[in-house]
Amino acid sequence: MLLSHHEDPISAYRENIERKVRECYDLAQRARSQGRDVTDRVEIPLASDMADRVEELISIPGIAAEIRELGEKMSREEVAIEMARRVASRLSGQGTEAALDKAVRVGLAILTEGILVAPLEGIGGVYISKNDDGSTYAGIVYAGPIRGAGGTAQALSVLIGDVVRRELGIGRFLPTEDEIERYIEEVQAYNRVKHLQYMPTAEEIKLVIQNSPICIDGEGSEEEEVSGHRDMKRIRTNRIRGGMCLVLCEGLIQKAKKVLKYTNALRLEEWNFLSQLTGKKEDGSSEKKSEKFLKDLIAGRPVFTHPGRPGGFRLRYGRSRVSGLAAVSLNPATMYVMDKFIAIGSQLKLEMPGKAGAITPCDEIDGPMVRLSNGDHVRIDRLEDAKMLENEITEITDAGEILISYGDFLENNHVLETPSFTAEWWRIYASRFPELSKYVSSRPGSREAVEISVRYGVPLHPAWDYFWHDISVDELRELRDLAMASRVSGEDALMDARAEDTLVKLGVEFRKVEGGILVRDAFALFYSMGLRISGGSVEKFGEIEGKDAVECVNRASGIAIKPRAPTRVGARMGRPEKAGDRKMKPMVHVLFPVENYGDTRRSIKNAGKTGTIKVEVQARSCRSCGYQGPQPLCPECGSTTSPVRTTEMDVDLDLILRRAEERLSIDLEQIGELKGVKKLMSRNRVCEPIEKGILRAYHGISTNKDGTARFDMTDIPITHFRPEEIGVSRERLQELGYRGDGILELYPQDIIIPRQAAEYLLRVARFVDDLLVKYYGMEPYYMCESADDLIGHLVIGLAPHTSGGIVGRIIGFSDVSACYAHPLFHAAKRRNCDGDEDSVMLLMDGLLNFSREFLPSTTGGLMDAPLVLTVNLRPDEVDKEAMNLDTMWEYPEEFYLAAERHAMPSEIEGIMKPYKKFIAENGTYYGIGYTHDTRDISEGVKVSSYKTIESMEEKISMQLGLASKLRAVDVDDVAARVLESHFLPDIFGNFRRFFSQEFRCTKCNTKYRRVPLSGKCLRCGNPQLTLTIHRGSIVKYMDETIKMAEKYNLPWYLKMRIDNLVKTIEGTFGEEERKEVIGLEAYQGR
Amino acid sequence: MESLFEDRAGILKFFNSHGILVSPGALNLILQRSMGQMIPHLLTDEVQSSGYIDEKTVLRLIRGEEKVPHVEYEVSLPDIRVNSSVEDFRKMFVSRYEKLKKIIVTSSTMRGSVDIKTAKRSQGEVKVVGMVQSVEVTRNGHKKVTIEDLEDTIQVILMKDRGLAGELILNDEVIGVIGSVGRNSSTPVIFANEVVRPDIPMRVMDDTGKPPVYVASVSDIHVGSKTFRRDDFRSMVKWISSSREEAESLRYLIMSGDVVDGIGVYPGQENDLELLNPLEQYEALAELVSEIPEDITIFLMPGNHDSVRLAEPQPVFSHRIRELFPRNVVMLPNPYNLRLEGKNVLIYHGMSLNDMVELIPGVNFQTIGKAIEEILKRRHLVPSYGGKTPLIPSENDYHVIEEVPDIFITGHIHSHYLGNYRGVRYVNSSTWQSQTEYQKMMNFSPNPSILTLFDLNSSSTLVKRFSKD
Repeated sequence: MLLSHHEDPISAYRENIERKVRECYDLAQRARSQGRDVTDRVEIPLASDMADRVEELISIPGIAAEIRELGEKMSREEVAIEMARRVASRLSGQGTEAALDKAVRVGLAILTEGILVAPLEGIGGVYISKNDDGSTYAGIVYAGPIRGAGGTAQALSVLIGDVVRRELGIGRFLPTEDEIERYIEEVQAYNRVKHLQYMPTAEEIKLVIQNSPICIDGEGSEEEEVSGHRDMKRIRTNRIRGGMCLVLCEGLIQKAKKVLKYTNALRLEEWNFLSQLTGKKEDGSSEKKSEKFLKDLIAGRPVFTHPGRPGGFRLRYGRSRVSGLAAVSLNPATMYVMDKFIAIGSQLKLEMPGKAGAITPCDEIDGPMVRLSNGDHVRIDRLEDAKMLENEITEITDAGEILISYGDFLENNHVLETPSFTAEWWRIYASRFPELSKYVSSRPGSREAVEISVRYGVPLHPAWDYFWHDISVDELRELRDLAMASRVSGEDALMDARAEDTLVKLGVEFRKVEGGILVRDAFALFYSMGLRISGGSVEKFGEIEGKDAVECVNRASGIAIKPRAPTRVGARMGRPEKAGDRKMKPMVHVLFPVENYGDTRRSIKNAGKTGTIKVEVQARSCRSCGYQGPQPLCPECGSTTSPVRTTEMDVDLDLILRRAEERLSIDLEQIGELKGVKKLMSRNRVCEPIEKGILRAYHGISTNKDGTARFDMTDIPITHFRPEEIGVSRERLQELGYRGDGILELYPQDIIIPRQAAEYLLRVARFVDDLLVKYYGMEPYYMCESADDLIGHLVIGLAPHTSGGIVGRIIGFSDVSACYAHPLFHAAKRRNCDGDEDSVMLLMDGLLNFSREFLPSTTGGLMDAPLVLTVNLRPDEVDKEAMNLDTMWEYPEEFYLAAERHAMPSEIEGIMKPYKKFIAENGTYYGIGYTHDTRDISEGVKVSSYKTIESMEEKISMQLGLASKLRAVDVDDVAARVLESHFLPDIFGNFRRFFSQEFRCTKCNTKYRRVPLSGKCLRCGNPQLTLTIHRGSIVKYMDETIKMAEKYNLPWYLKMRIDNLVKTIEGTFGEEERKEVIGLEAYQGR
Repeated sequence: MESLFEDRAGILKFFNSHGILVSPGALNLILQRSMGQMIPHLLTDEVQSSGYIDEKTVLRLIRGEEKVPHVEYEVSLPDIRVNSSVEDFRKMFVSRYEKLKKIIVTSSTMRGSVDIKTAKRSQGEVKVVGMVQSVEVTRNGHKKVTIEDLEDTIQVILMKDRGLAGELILNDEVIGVIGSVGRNSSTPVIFANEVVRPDIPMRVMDDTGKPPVYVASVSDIHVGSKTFRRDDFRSMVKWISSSREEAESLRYLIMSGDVVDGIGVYPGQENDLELLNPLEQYEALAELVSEIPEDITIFLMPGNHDSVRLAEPQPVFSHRIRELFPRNVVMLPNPYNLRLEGKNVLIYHGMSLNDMVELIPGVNFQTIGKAIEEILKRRHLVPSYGGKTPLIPSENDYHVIEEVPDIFITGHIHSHYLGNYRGVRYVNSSTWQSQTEYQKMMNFSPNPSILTLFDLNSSSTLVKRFSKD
C-alpha cells in the first residue's frame, strides 16, 4: 500500500482533496440546514466527472450513469448524439418541443464537458413551426453565450437537433428566397458590428440555409437591426441574431469538414452538401498575415517588435517551467528595459504561433542588448543590471529572446520557423564527443569555441555566433577591412568607430573608448571573417565570398557558423496583468434592495434611517409568528421563515438592522459604508440575509451577483516549483504530499496565489468564520492567523462563460499579479494562458453563500456562477489544448532539423511527446519535464507601467518614447496606427454621438431621449438638465492628434483624414480658426 | 475714358501704358465680357509685378469680383455654430415646435386649440398641439403617445377601435390632437378623435401654357471613387450640351450632395478611391462640369461625403473649392429652399432617409417614396431626433419645411424614385456611382445614371437614362 502510494502520489493527493471537500461540504450543509439562508441546502452540487456535471446542469436525474456507460465504447461526439436521442424519446410524452429542447441541451452539454454555460444560455429555446406547404419544421433559437461552446460543438448542436427531429417525426425547414436573403444580409451586418472569425460568402450562407433541415434561429442580440429584410413572418426580430450568426459561420461553415465526418459516420446524407464548403481558408499574402497582430493597436500599449524585424524578439524554442499553454517566457531584464510595460502575467499579442500569450520569466534565455548614454553596447541578462542601467539606456538594439514551446506551435498548427542557434542545440552536436561533456554546464571562451569547431567540426558555439544574417556582404567586407586595421591586444580589438553600426547589427558587445571601439574577446568574431588574431596582429586566412553574409563567414572561416537568430517574433502589448478582488460597480456588500432610499451610494444605513422602505422582494412568512418580511430569519421573533411570493412590500429596514446588530453583536457605527443594490435582478427578487452584508463590510470584502466573494487573476502556468520561491517550508509541503528535494513537480489542482490574493482571501476566511460563529452559531472553520494559514485550504476556480467550478488547493504565494497553477487546472476551467483572467473563491464561502436564487434572470445570468463543482480533475475532461503541452526535458535533434525545413509540428508529434502522448505512454500525467529553468517565478516586473501611469497622454508619450528607442519598431507606423485605430474613431464616434445624445437631470438622474421643451426635468422639476456627451469628450484627443500628426511622418492620406476631421469638428463647434492644421492646406479643399 | 475700352486697340493701349503685356486669350475674354470700367481693376499688384496678364488671371480676377455671379440666386447662409449646451438643443426643438404649431393651427379643424396645461383642466373636447415625446403600444393594442408643449406634457390615447392605433407616430414630430379629456386615472389623458398634421395642402399646378423651362436633378456623383460612372456622366453632359429640344429648354441643373467621394468617410475607404486627394476630386468634377454650357446654371450642394462639416445645415463649399468651378456654378448649403422662376424647389441631400427607412414599417430603399411623403406630411426634413443625422442645435430649426415646395429633391440613398404628393413633385435623384461593396453587403442595387427633369411651367416631368448597362 505504502509502495503504491509512493509510485502513484496522485491517488493519495486526490483522496486528500476529496476528504477535505467532503469536510467542508458537510459543515456547510449543517449550517444551511438551519434555515438561515434563502434555501436550506448547499447549492453547489459536487461532481466527480463530466457525466455528473451534465446531469446537474441539465437536471435530468439518472443520466450520468448512462453517459458514463456510453463513454466507454463511444467517442464524446457519439455519446452526445446517442444521449440526445435517448432523452428525446424518453421525454416525448411531455410534448415534442420540450423533448427536443432537453435533447439538444443534453447533447451540447456533453460536447462541452458539462462546464460551459452554453447548453443552458446559449440556446434560448426551440420551437416547432410550419412551412408554407403546411409541413412542420424545428427551429433552434441560439443566444450569445453559445459562443463559448466553440465552432465544432455549435455545429454539432444543429446536427443533434436534426437527428432528434427525425426521431420525433418533425419535418425539415424549407426557407423562402426572402428568408435566405435575410440570413445573408444579417451575417454581413453582424460581421460589421462584432467581427466573425470567418466571414462566409453569400453562396456559402445560401447553401447552408437552403439545405439545413433545422432552422438556425437566434435571439435578437445586437442593438443594430437589419435594414433590408425586415418584419418577416417567420423571423421574429429585426435585430441582428448574434447566436445564429456564430453557429452558422464559425460553426457549420467554418467547421464543415469536421461536421462532415460525423454526418458520414451517421449516414445523414442530407448533410453531404457540407462537402461543398471548404471551411476557413487563409488567403492574402504571408506579409499581411504576419502583421495581423498589429491590427487595432491601442493607444498607450506599445509595440515591441514589428513583424520579422532585426532587433526584435528572437525565437527560441522550449518550455520553461512556467510557460506553455500559450504562455511564453522572456528574460526578466527584457521586461524591465521595455520601460516596464511587460510584467509577469501581461498579455502580449504575438505574430506567432497563436494570437497572444501571457508572459512569464525565464532567466536562462538571452536578455536585451542596449546602447548606453556613454556609447557602450551591452547585453543585459540580469534584472539587477537592468535596474542599474535603467536611466542610461538610449536605444534597445535587440529585444532578447522569447521562449515559445513546440506545443504552442502544435496547438496552433503553425509551421515551425527556423530556430535560433542556442546552447541546447549546440550541446546536441557536442554530445557526440565525450571530451566536450564539460560544456554541458559551461560555455567555451572565444578562442576555445573556435578551436572546438575546428577540431570536432561542430558549429561555432552560439555565445560567439553573431547575427550575420542581418548584415549585407558589403557591410561584412567593410567590417573586415576595419578589423584588419584594428589594434589588437591579447584577444581584444580596438576598432575604428566606423565599425559601430555593423557591430550593433551583429549583436557584438563593445565599449566606446578613446580612439574607437573596444571589442573584447574578438577572436571568434575575427575568425568568422577569415581573420586570425595572433601575437598582437591580425592575419587574413580566408576570403569573403558568397551570396549572403552567413555563407561568406562559413566559407571564410572554414568552420560551421549557423544563423544565430533567423526568426524574429513580432509583438505588442495586449492586456496588462490582473490581480484584484471582484467588485461590482458600484460595490455591493449585500444583495439587498434599497431603491433610492439609500441615496446614490445605495447606503443601507441611510435607507435604514427612513425606517420602512418600499421595495420589490420575495416575501417570506415567519413560521412561528407569521410576520412577513424579506429575510430568512424573522426580525420579530427570530424564527425561520418560508418564501411566500414576490411582491412590492413595505420592509421595516430599521427593525431588520437592529436585530442584525444584536445577533452579530456588531454596532453598525463600527463599520463604514454598507452598500446594497438598487433593485434585485433575480427572477424571484430573493434577498440575502443582511447579516452577511454587515460581516462583509466589517471584514472589508464585497460580494458578486451570486453571493460569493471573488478574487480575479490572470492565468499563468507552472509545472515545477521551488519551495523557497513560494514562501512555504519543505516540511509543510511534505504534509501536503510533496516528496523530494530541489525542484518539485506541482500537483494539478494546486495553485500559487499572489500575496495580494492571500490578503483578500484571509479576510474572506475571517468573514466565513464570523459567519459560522455569529450567524450560524457553529464552530469557526478556518481560524487563520495570517495568510500563511491559508496553505492547504481549498478554493473554487471558476472562469467566465462557464458554470462549472473546479476545486483547487492553495500551496504557496508569489509576488506577481497573476495566478500560477498547473496547465491542467487552467484547462479544467476551459482557459489557456494567453492573457485571460478568471477567479477563485474560498470553498466555504461558495458553499455557504452561493444561491441560484440570486442570479439575474437575464441572458448570461448563469454565466460565471458555480452551478456545479468538480472535485477531482480528470485529464481526459479538460480542454484539449492542454494535451499539446510539452513534456520533454530537452528537444531532440530531429526537432531542430524539422524546424529548419519548416515542417508542420504535427509531423514530429511522435518524437516530441506532447501531453496526450505522454499520458498514453505512461498512464499518468505526473512526471513531466521542462526545458528551461528560472531562478525565481516572481522575478521580473511585477506591475506593468500601463497600470501605474495614470493619464492617457503619458501612456501615449511612453508608448511612442519606447517605440523610438526600439530598433525593431517603426515609430511612425505606431503613431499612425494609434491615430487610425484609436484617436480618429474615438473623436469621430463621439462627434456622431453628440448629435443623438441623451440628456440627464443633474438631480434625480432621470434620462431623457430628447431634452424636454420646457427645459425642466419632468420628474422632479429641476431646471438643470445636462448633456451626456460634452464637447470636451469630442475634442479630448484632438490636440494630441494634431501634435502627433505634426511630429511623425504619417502616410499622406492619414494626414488628410486628420485634417478633414479636425475641420469638420471646428466647423461645427466654432473653434477659433486654425491657420494651418498640419500643413496640408494646399491639398485640401478649404 | 469708357469708350477707350471698347476696342482691342484701346485696351492694349491701356495695359501698355502700365507696362503690361496682354495675352490674346486675355484680350478676347476682356472684350467678350465687355468689362468697361472694370478693366482698371485688373491692374492688381500681382499683375503689375509680373508685367503680364493672361486668360486665367482674368478669369480668376473676374470671379473674385463677382462673388455672387447671378444676383437672383443669392444664397442666404445659415451661420450657426454649436455652443454645445443643453439650451442650444432645447432652442432648436422649441423653434421646431413653434414653426410647426403655426402651420398646424392654420388648419380650420384646429381652430380654438389650447395649451396642454389648459387642456388638462378642460371638460369635453379639446384641441392641443404637442411634440411627441414617446410612443408606446399598450397591452390592449392602443397607442399611448406622450406629447409636450413648452410647459407641460400629457398622454394621448389612440384607441384601436377608433382606427387611430394604426396611425404612424414618430418621436419628436409635432402633431395636433383633437379629443376628449378623460380623468379616470390620477392624471388626465386625452382620448384622441383625430390627429392633425401640418401636412401639405392639396394643390393642382396650373398649366401656364408657356414653353417648358426645365430644372434637372442629379445627385451622389461620387467623383474620385473607383466606382464613379464617368462614361455615363459624360454622355449626360453631352446630351445636355446637345441641341435636342428638351436639352435646349434645360436652364438649371441641381447636384444634391456627395458630388465627390471624399476621404475618411468610412473605414478602409482608401481602397475604393481612384483619387485620394479631395481637392483633386473636386478638380475632376469641375472639369466635367465645365463642359456644360454656360447658360445653364448649376447648383452644387454638399452631402455627407463632401469636404464641409458633416453636421447639418451644411454650409456651402469653401472658397478654394468654389474657385475651381466655372462661373455658372452656384454653391448651395444643405438643405436649401431655392426659388426658381417663381417656384419653390426644396433641396436636401437626404441623410435622414436612412433613419426613416428604419422608422417606417414597410419602407426600403426601393420604395423610398413613402418615406419622402412621410417627411412632407410632417413638414420636417429630419422628423425624429436620435438617429444618424447630425443636426447642429441652434435657435432656428433649418429643417422645418416652412414653405410648401413645388418640387422636392433628395438624394443620398442611390435609389431613383419619382412621385407626386398632393401636388408636390418629388424625386430621390439617381446616383452616378455603381454598386459599392457596402451596398453589395446591404444587398442593395442602386439605380444609377438617371437625369430627372421637371418643367417649371407645367407639371410634366422627364426621365433620361444614361446607364450603359
